[in-house]
Amino acid sequence: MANYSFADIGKWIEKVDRGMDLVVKQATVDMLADIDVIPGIARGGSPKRGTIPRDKGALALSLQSSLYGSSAISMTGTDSYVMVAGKMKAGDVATFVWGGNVAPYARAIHYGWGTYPGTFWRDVAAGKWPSYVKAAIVRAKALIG
Amino acid sequence: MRTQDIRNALKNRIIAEGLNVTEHMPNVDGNHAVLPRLEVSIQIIDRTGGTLKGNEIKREVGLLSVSVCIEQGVGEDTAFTLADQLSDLFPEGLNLAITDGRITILEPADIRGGYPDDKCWRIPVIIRYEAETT
Repeated sequence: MANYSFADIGKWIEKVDRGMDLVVKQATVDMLADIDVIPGIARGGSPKRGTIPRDKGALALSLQSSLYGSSAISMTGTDSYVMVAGKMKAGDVATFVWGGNVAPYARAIHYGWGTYPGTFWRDVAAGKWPSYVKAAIVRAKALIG
Repeated sequence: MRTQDIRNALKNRIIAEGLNVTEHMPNVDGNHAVLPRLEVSIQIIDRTGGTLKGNEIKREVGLLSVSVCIEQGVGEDTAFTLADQLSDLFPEGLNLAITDGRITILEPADIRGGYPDDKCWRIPVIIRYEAETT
């Protein structure tokens, strides 16, 4: 571990900032990458907790990723989170939304309807957030010491 | 700490307090035509073990999800009244005792936006809990 003197405070702040940015980017990418898209009922699959079923609509594709903060960016698509998370800095607010006009049934698939149990991918991912942050901290420490 | 104890403690809290509506618990036959009704499901998010053998659950984080189902076309008031009553049943910090452990409600219930089902209007209420071995 490096030792800093008062004269190095600028360097130290820079290092802490870099570490925090790395953690927020990595944890966000890991969380969204872990939401698997699997075959839905129409494709012979079955509902699985924490996943997005791919049937005949555009649910997975409807992901809209937006960043408000150090930069403003909004993209749509299954992998749109990669670009948004890549630009994130600690303290930024990012939103990730599924549904909209192309998949208005997103809530029904997420929370369930009739006898379909719902797969709760958003809540499962959000519930695991502390684990993603913990893992990202370990990786950031390994990268920048 | 056993899975069954965790799930039963959460379900029993709803049953025991009685909201005067039909409650549908997981894998229990019920009349899905009855409205209003509550549809209950429990999602395990993460589990932490405490031993190298890995057969002990030290901590479980999960979601108690309750869908409030009401008739379509009658507005949302009935649903939100029930959702608020559910929220009051599980205030942040509530502890429920179970064998060898304790369940804690982690945050106020999250009452989400409603959406239409085939035959009803649903409002999801999401309650985050943590169960710990004591």
